[in-house]
Amino acid sequence: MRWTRWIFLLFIGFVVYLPLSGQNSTPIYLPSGEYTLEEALSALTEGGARISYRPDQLPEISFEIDTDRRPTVGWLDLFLRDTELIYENGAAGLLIVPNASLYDQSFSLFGMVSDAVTGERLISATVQLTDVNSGTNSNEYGFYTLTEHGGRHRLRATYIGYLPLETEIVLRADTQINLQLIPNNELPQIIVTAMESGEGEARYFETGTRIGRTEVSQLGGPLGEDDPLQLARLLPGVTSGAEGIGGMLIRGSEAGQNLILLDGVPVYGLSHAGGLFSIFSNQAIRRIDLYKDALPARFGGRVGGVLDVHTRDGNLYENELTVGSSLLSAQVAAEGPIRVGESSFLLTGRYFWASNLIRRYSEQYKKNRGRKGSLDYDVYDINFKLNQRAGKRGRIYLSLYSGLDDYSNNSWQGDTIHQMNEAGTLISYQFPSARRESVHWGNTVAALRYNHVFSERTFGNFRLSYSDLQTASSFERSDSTKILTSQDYEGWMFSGDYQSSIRSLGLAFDGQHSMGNATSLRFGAELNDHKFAPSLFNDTVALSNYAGEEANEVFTPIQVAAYGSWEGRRGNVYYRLGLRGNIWTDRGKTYTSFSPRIMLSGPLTANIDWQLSYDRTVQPIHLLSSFVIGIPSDLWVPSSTDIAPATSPQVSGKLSFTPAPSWLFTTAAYYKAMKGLIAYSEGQQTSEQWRNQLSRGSGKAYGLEISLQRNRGNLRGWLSYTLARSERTFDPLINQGRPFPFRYDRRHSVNLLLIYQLGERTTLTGSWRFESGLAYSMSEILLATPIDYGPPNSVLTEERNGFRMPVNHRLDVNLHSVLSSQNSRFTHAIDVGLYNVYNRRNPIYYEVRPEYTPAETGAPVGRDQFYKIFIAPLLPTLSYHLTFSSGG
Amino acid sequence: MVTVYREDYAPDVEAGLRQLHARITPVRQLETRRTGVYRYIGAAAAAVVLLVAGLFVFGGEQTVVLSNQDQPLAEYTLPDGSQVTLQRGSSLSYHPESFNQHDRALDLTGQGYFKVSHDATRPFLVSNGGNEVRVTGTAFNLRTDSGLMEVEVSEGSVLVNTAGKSVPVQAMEYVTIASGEEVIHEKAPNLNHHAWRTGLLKFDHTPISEVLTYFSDNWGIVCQWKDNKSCDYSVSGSFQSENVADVLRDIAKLGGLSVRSTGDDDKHFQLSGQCNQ
Repeated sequence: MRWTRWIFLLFIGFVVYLPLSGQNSTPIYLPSGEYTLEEALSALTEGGARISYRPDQLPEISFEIDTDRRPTVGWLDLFLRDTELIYENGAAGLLIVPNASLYDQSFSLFGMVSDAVTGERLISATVQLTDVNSGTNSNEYGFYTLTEHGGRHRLRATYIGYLPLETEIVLRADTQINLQLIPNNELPQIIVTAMESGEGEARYFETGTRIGRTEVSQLGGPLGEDDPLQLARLLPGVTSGAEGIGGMLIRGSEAGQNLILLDGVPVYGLSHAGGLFSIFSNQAIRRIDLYKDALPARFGGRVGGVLDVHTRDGNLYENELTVGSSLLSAQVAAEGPIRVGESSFLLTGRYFWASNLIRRYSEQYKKNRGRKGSLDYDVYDINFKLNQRAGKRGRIYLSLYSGLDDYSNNSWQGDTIHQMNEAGTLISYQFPSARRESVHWGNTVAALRYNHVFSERTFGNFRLSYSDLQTASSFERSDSTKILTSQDYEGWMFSGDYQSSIRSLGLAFDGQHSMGNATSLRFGAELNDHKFAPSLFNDTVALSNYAGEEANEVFTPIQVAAYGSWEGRRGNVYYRLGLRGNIWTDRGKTYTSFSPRIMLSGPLTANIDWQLSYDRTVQPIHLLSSFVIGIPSDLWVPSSTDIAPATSPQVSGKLSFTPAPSWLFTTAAYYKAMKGLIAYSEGQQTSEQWRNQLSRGSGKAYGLEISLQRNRGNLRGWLSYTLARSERTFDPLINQGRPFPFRYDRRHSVNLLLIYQLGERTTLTGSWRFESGLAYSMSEILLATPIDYGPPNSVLTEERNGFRMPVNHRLDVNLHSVLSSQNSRFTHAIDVGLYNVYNRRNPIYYEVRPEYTPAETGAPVGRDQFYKIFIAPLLPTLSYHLTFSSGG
Repeated sequence: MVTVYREDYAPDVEAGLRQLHARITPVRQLETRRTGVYRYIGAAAAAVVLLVAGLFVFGGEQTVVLSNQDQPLAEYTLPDGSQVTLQRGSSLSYHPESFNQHDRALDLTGQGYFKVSHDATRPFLVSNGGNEVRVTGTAFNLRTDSGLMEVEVSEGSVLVNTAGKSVPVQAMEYVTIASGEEVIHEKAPNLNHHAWRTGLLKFDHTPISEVLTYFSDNWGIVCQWKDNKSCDYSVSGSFQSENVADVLRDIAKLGGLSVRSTGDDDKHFQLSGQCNQ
């Protein structure tokens, strides 16, 4: 068999194909250690696995491996668990490829954005997937939702004043990620406030201007009283009377036309002391958003701007107690967890202890001017808030605000003049002049809210709310002439008593649903039950005569509103289309209105963004302001049988140019018309039926706002210029039907805010504001009243608001410093500064007081003298707050 | 060409295979189906017949020609004990009288893998045209074409002589000499020029353009980009398959590309697709 053996040997030399014995099922040994994904796959290849992949598709992740022996697929299941990669059988081994179906599927990423230290939800934080350039903002409860195709994404969450959070995520299913941002305490050299546009595409939907706590405390306020509205009034398009008197006026609309929401509940008044301070204690405020245009459809009920105020929730992890005082008020704030991480409370309170000082000072002041009397002022306010987690998807909030103002001012003056009469007798005349006024107002706002994450794309909030305003103001003035020798008495008296009681009970739902691709729907409905009891009395009798008078009328309108708003993107254009429907019923009269809202925005070039908006707003309640009297006698009245709601369309446009990082140049223009306005007719206001005294009219406001802002760096702030006009036209009973300027028609305004970072936690802030003077109805001629009742002389104003008061300007400086040593549980915040540095006497109004001088013949001659009323001379700013934290 | 084998050899073939299986290391194995075994038995038998025929025909002319015309691979043992594997379409010739006297000179056309028995006194010389590989004992892959010689060394070292130049090539290196072009001398840690024989391709961040050269070097597979629009991506990992076109499809799939065969020879393909993956 030699030959067969030989053949056999030859065979040995032949390569014989054998079936693959399945390398991928042979267990592969890998030693323990930290591996990157690529190292791990490389180790598998070395171990004999037949796998192939594209290194550029591997995410940069690493993991710990425990020594083990597994088949290739066993290892791959482990390695690829947190990636968008899958393996599939190829002809020549296993292919590791991106899961193509992940890219075809959409998943939602949702969760809450909160402060890592306090647990406070962050409102309007930007959440972006930077790799696909999509993004959104968290809502008022910190909830965000984004819908994007599956796969690996780079998630970035930012909120000004916080360190950005960046992380890689793999979207393989609907995923909840709660983002906790760490406050950037080290060097917060960023303007938390205002005009800075956010990051990513979400900024195109953010049409409000935020006002942050930090800048508010850096700015300081008169006598050291921090006030968010001090900062708001530095924004272009926002004004007020001198020192804030008159409240806040946005783009030529009236104070009663602003929608002020405190935790979502409409508030009927935002001022303490007539506007000197707002009801918003900076200690209680998380954030304020101011909207001048491009109003989301969820806002309605007023024709002016929107001030959306959110209170803080209270620290979920640590107890904190802050006590402090300014030269005006004492403040206390306590907050902390009830159950750590689940529920917390916040209680803040202010009491204006300065009232005692004011009384004594005013007594002295009046005495020096030959008058008797005093000025009393008492103010307090409290904020209380509770929040509790309710299950995994819900949270309950209870918030309460209550504040009270009590003001009275009395003065009596009795000049005596001795004059020889023709008969040679010395006659002593006395001219007693009494002024008595008191204003008392308080409001309470309460809300019980429950918000719920219905699904990864749907969020809803239920709200039960209560809001009331009780005001009572009265005045009595008398001027007389008394001949002391004969006790002959001649004089007049004029008094008024205005009372208003409003309470509103509301039930509301607000929902949002995300459809992905920057598309989302916001919708909701509200039901409000209002009660208005305005009463208005004035006459030529003593104030005491009104005692026991009942309110003229009580109105109980029902309001139903529903809205929907669609946000989306088409190419480079971002849009928000909204519609709000409102039904207002009172005494069988129903007003139905629709308010469309259109907002378009987008990038024009790489560093210019544009925005166009149209807003129609409807206001079924009116604030009747007295133009003549210098004390607050504003009266809220509802639309009813003969008073229709006010409506206002506004068109506006804006260009934002970012010439360099941290610089922003913004130009905005607007035109706003107002219809259905009501005002007191001119002349006597003596009728008990105030409704018969109303004039109806319209208005228009337009303007141009330019601002340059620097929002980062050691020196930051902004400079803005506003050119504006606002005028009104009423029926012939006011200004003979001719157009006249709005009282707060400021032609030119310049605002400058500079914040200089002196040290890590010390800032020097200067602010300067310059505004055209108010339009004032100056009484020029006194006419004897042709009828035999009423004051002897009527003030005739030739032109309504025809007189321009002097320009209003003021410079404030404030040094704000926060001191805390390492590991100390105490933090000190100190403010030192000057208010009205160059002691400018900006007038609030002019008062007419008769002054008597001996006449050549006959009785002494009385002449009306104008007094310029101003309230804030150069004042120091001083405040100190001590915070104790259990967290250290 | 002989395409049938003699029935009486069959029982011995079966017995020999069983022993052969035990000796062949897995690295050398190419993936195949069990049903394919008989085909290779046939191939082996055919090669034996061919060798015998060559000896018979050319014996008197002092030239032995080893030629693999239609089998994927054919392995031969040379008189000095060296082993050679020839790719389909390749042939090797030598003079039996002088071979292994003073040297071991061979001529190669095409591609072959040489496992040379060590013998320092009788150099092993493989030449093609003016190029020559000179070794004493080593293992290497050699590909020749008109004016081209490409050597990739898996063990030991070789010396490539060309136009009066000697290029030493170490293990895990390769050298390509083409007439009128610069000598390419690179590391070859993955021995991808051996893939035609081992069926194994290994890549480590290898650009697709380089990957495609291995297909052309190993199997003469020419890939063209549709509309000359080429994609650029890198590949890592290892592939093993008896079907080269399948490997190509796998690699294309990693890049999200599609492969279309152009022509019926399984050597021409067109790649197309978006390069965005």
